[in-house]
Amino acid sequence: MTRRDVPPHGLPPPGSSAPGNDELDQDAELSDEERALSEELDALAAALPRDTALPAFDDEALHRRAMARMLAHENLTELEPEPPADELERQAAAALASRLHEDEWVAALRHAHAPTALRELGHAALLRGTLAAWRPARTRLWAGAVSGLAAAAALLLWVTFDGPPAQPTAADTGSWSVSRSTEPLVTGPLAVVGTSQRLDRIADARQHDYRDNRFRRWSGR
Amino acid sequence: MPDWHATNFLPRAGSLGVACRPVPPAPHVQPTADPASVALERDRVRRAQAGDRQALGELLRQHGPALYRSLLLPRLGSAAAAEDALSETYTKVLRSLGSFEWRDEVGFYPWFRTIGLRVVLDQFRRRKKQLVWSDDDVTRELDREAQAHTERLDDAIIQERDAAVVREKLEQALLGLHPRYAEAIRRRILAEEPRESVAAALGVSPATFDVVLHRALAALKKKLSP
Repeated sequence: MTRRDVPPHGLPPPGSSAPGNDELDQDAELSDEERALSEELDALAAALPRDTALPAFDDEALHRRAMARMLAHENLTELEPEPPADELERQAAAALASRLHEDEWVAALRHAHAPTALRELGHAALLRGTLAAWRPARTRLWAGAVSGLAAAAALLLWVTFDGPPAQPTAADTGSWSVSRSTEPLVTGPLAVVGTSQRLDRIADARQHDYRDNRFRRWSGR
Repeated sequence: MPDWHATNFLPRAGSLGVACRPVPPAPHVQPTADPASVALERDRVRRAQAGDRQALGELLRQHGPALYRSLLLPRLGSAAAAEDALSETYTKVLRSLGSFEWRDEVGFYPWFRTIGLRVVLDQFRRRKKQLVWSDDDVTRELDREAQAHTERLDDAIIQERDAAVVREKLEQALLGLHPRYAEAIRRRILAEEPRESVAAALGVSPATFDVVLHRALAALKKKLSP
């Protein structure tokens, strides 16, 4: 690297991933005076704790260089010069600027830094709602007692319930009408024209038997 | 995470920068709670546990806004989310008040605060969105809370410490940024200075400042992401 390649203020060139290392390489080409200054800056950077404010430098270039050394000790690379913004980034930046007060991230930073007080009216309403919904332990005791009584009553009903009607016994079934086939009643050919009063009577008799058995089953007869 | 002490509960000085809105001075409180206020609070808790609605209202009115400001809002990052969390905290307090056992060396607020922290953790897990504070941070706080209390601190100290740890995390992240980015965020976002004046202070046009701020916020988000 020649002197002409060294960026102003000792800052690393754009795109350099390790500004501290590049900058240390440049020390070989510095004059004695610059080397002495460089050593002082190194000592300062090593001595400065990370969260100590930097002393105010009159020379901006010196300030930036000291900052570069200190950040190099912290393995940080954010000191690279900013690359120019493309159109897309400009649009995004303008959009953010126009809705800065509505941005969720910005609001979170502000609340983290200086949280605001709870609104008095909102809290009063919240408290009213909370207290109104509160059932103290004593009230809960009464509610529990009432629930317990209801459960006991339900249990009693369940225990004393007879269940569905009993099925017919063998004695009952002895008096039931027996299912009979109509086959023996129809020996000859059936008339194909008109209606048969005999078949109607047979059907009526079977319906009567069926209804009779149903009523017996339901203990209605 | 800073090493907190009862009598030194603010983040170290010098980390806020010159352009930042001044941090309010620490409240002048005793590190340990006042015996008279302890007795008053114990009486309120006893009455609330016996079903006294007014005593319960006094307890919540006393501690709710402080919990919101020092713990819920800085961690959740949104007023709406913090109000929801406060409401949920109240509901849980009512549900568990009967099982709360008073101890002079602990008091009511630490118990109330633990419930608030658990609500914050639930919210983080539900919404899966973390801004400055993360669910890991809350878990660490709950772990510390589980350690035995040897001396009761004044509630104001606990509250100031709760707010300060979040502020400190933000400050640490800002210190890791390009100084120009940190200054842009401090002046425009935290101190809420006008855009034009911050741009002038940084020696750029307002449009260029928008780009700087955009990049600064992106860099900060990256720093804070778990």
